Amino acid sequence: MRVKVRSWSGVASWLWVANDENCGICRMAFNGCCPDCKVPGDDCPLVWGQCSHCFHMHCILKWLHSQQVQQHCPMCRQEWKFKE
Amino acid sequence: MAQQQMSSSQKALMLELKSLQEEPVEGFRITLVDESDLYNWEVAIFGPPNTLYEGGYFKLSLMLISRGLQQKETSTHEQCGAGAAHLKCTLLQQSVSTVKEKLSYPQMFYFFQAHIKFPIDYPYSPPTFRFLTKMWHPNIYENGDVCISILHPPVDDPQSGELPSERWNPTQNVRTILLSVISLLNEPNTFSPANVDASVMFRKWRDSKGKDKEYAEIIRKQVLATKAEAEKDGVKVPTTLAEYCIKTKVPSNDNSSDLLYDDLYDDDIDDEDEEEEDADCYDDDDSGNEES
Repeated sequence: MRVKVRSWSGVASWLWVANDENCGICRMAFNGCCPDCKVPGDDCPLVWGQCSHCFHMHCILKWLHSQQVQQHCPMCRQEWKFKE
Repeated sequence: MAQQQMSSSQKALMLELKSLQEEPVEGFRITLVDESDLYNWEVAIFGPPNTLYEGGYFKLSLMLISRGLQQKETSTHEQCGAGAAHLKCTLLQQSVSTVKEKLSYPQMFYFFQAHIKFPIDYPYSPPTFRFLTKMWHPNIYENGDVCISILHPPVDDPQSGELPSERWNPTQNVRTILLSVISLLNEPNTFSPANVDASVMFRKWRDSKGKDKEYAEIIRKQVLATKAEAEKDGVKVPTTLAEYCIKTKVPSNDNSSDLLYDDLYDDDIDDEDEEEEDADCYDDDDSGNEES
């Protein structure tokens, strides 16, 4: 019996590799998006601080921008610096 | 923008409410004041066994308030100035044991009620926490507002004696607040009293190792008063450590998501298979028709 492949469609899945399942700020899944976005993926990325804590970029920026005082990681309260 | 903020705070509150109902904090029972309003929570607190508050039933409130209002309320908090409570999150167990050593009271059980109000930009701003039950406590204002540093927005205010890092941040949640409140009940912070008279009285009681009974007597009276409240509400206040400590139930409500999953992957698949088979038959029929 011969089979001819006429067409095929590829399916791929992706995951963020983070040290936790949910964003500590919005409490939504890292593999989902922040509450202000509709679609997960590169448009709603994760960012890490030098303290190794991870958040949705939109969530941590919203928090840092609302702070007049020194910017701290909300998890460990160390000074917040983005991990390069 | 406002709508988006609404929905993100609503999402966060939904998740927290669900988590607190599935895995409750010992001694707390949470309900919505009005089923349609997520920003308005009612909390019943049972006094921890082996403490002065044992047997008590306390009501608190957690509610939505506008930003402006909240800042106003905060400023009254700030009036305790150097007084604001620095609450180090002592574990409940620890506070239970400390007070146990100091005093033991006959088995009486306490029930408090409180409301928690959430701001529209929660969790970026803290909720407010107010006891509805009358409380005589160094760190609770006469109007029932609780003075805890994690409930204060992280502004730089050297006058307050609180570091910004001891204040609210968005990873705090209702669970951490409840744990702070229950530990504060048993270990008042006398460095920053919100109720100076209560603080002086508490210190006398503590320093006399329970011989000066004025403080303990007031609390005992309040505890007794809550008994009537609990009966009125039809609430059975836990009377033993075993009853107080909620056994984590084998997730029964948790199944809601599994059920959904099951539905999708069992029943529906069967249905779909049948439908597909049916569809195939029809296809054959159709092609047959076409030929004719």
